[in-house]
Amino acid sequence: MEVLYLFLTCFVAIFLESFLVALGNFRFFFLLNISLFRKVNWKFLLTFSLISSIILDVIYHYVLGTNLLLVAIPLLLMLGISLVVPLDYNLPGYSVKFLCIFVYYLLLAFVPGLILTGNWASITGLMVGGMVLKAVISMVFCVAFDLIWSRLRKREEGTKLRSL
Amino acid sequence: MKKNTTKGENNNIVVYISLLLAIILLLVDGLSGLKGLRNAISFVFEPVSFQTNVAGSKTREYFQTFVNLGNFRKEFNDLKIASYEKEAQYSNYLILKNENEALKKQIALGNREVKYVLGNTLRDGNVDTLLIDQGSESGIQQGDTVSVGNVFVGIISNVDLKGSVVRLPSDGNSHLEIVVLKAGNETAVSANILSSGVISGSAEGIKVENISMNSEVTDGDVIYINDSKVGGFFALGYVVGLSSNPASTYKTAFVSPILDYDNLMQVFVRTE
Repeated sequence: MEVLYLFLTCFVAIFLESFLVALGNFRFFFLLNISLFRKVNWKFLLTFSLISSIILDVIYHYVLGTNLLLVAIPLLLMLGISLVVPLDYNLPGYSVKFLCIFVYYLLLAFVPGLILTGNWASITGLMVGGMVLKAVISMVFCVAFDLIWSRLRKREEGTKLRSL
Repeated sequence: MKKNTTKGENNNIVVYISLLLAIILLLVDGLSGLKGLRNAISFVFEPVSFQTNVAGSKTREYFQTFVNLGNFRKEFNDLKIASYEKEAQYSNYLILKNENEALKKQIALGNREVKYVLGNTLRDGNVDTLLIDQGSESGIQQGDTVSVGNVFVGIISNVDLKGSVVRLPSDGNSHLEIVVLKAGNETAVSANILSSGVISGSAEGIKVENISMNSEVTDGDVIYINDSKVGGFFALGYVVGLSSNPASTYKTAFVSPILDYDNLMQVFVRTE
């Protein structure tokens, strides 16, 4: 059953990633990773990240592992910050997430090109503005996802209590 | 508490493993290349990605319409203004067109085409009228002027299909306005008009009346038809038998016609 979930999640993630990239250059794959982090089993998340990132690398014609690296670095940063700021569902917690998403978009601007060609991409003020805007919109998604997730968990717990 | 911490640490491990795997993949793909794997994934997922990408682009275009709503409104207003300008230009054009049409009509009226119909005279024994062999079939109408060159013959009084009756100036019903000019200076018309008058047919001949008492009209002066019914200057004849009654306010005279109406062979009927 878990394998089916995994393939379904991968397929939905790739579908939405392609759709949202065309719509407004939003990266759904990373959003899903940051939202599912510490919410699902780490093995499931790792497998999902590995498979989806390889597929997306092929679709975007990146060197394999680029997307996984782009996801891992901001998450590593988030882990580092979490030693100081707790990652709760409050303003400081979401601020850390906002920073991570911004860093992800910043890395996305030059890391794939750097790996492929070895050249640094130039980043303009307009691009940074766009990154901030996308990070803000992504934050809205994260908040909505957390709300839905917490409600689902409560319902599950309620069902368990009733069954007990 | 310890269990929770262990679970959190387990979750964190995904980041480290991901980072490690990413570096391994980058190295493997960079060094040896994974062409087969790439081709297999591309074969399955590229079409899916393409279709969703197209759908996303279309959705973006749809939303772009709302984003550009301000520009569309501005463009619409500009087009409206341009449309009004064009409408104003068009109405101006219509005014000019109407004016042009009116001028064309006016010019057409000013330059009426005149056609001359050649008619042969026929004898009928009447001295005050003349019969010709051209009628309505040739476009002749009642009131048309009959002349020979610049000399007045008469006015068409009756028209049949193939014949017409010309009323000569000597006819009792013929009344025409004339001007008397000094003989010998026909070219300078306005400078030599001695008097105006009216001719009418009578048993004695063509009688001229209403010649101004103070005019210097003498026998031998030239009489020209100047009547709106005729439409133009036509020579008629010479003044003869000028008489002046001291009790009257005008002089009378008779006309000696230039043409001998009895010997006319052909005449021209001016039709419009």
